[in-house]
Amino acid sequence: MDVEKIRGWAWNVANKLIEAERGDTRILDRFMMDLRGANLPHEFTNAIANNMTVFKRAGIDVGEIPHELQYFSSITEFKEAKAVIIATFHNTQIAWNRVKESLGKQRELKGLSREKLQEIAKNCYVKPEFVQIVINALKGGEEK
Amino acid sequence: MNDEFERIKNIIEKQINFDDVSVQFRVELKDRKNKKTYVLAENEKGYQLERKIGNKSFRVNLNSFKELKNQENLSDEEKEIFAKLFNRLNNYQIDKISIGGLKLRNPILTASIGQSVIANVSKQIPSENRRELYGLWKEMKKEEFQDKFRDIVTNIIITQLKDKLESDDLPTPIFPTSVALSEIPNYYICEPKERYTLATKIELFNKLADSVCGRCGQRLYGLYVPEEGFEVKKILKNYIPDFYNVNIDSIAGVRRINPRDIKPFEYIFYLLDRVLQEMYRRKMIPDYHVELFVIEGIGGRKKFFSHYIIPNLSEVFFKLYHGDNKYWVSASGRAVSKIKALISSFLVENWNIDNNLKKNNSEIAHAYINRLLYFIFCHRRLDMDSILFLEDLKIKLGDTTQIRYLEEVISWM
Repeated sequence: MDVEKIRGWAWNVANKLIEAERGDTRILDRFMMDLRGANLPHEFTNAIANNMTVFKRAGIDVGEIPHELQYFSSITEFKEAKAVIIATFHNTQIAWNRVKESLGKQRELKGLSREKLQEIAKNCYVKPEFVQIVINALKGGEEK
Repeated sequence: MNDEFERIKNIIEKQINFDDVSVQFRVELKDRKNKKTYVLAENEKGYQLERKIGNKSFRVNLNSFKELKNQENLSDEEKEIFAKLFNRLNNYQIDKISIGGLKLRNPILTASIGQSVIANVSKQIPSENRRELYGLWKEMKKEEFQDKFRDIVTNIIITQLKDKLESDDLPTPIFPTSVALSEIPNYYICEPKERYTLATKIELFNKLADSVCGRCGQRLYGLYVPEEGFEVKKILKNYIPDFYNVNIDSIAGVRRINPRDIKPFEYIFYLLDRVLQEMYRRKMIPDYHVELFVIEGIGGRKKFFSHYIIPNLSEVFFKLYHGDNKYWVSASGRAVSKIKALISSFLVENWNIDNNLKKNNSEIAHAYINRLLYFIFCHRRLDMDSILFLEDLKIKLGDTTQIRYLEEVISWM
């Protein structure tokens, strides 16, 4: 099982859901709750598929369900995938909340200097690009 | 087998600690008809008179026999009884020598044979030895007294221990499966009974004496490392000054921790984590097993003994400690193992939650951490059920700290 691929997918999905809500985590919370309650592989896969359909209808494109999550060759593999996805969702929420809290102390998001951005990234244990994503989401979409 | 007993004798002679020993010479008279007991005891501070009636006890200290007649709380009849006891004491007719503070240097050994052997030493001293010891003590022949006392006590302990090791044990129920920690409810098989041979018992005793001992909550732990693992002890020595008093709280290095809830595999994890990190830095491989002895229950309460074996440490080492990618650099610039970062993120003590929630959930969280580490040490795999439980608990309680390096640890296993 490609653990890194599953983690990457979960990170991507979590970020898209929070971005779509401009920094709020309610959709991700609900998704996570559904996944936490799924104790069998087919329940887990169904929970993912159902939620993905809901996201799509709401106009949030989180891409395809990776092959690794469509079929589990053993119960252990399913539990590993579940543990990785839930940990990643949780960590993404924490990262967003940390950055949001740090940005909250800044009066103006628009004119944030590069140095300030890097300082926030360092304090929140994230990359500066991630801080930029959060800023864009909070401002209401990337400026073109 | 005599060689083996010779080894036990050597261990006891090395381990026995007379530094804090105090003695008291006692003569007593029992009046069974009136259910009264009179005791006259002498120690370095003087004399002590004790009168017991049923459960009630009256004590008074005297500096000399002359003070007896001034005791207003004693009747004339009782004064006469104590005068007789003084007379017997002066004639060296000692009934008992009470020994206080006698212990073995390794606390886990004292806890193992304290109640069954050491506590019975004073009863086993023969009357001629009692008389002789009192004579030496009274004549202030300090060195002669100490030598004689040491010989007598050591011989009694060795003889008693020999008897215990040679006698039949109580039947030991066998723990049914090696994955017992995941079986709910737990159950025991009483047939066939497990019997330890004398050689095994002596071997276990040797290991116990040689173990690195530490108290943690209600438990006393002894880590045994075989001779070929001398480098483990060498590394441990760098941060454990006293091998008989391990302070796991400071060794764990995971900020706050509640020692009461730490269980055996968590304890051994904290103890070995820094050792295995250091071994990777020094390009060493721990190609041997280690053992952990656990005694649960303190003081005079009933004790429970357990003995765990980590069959081959090298497999754990290669999976979790061998390779630069197994470490991260902390803010203070120190390399820390990622497995410890993962375990730390599941420690309820370090979560950003209400203190009452921490208190109420600490026991269950530590139980699952212990189970997780049991699977790592004994089966070299991650117990995903424990991880899922701990993740759930963390999210349910609303913690705002990350779960660190989970996917990496999964990919190594």
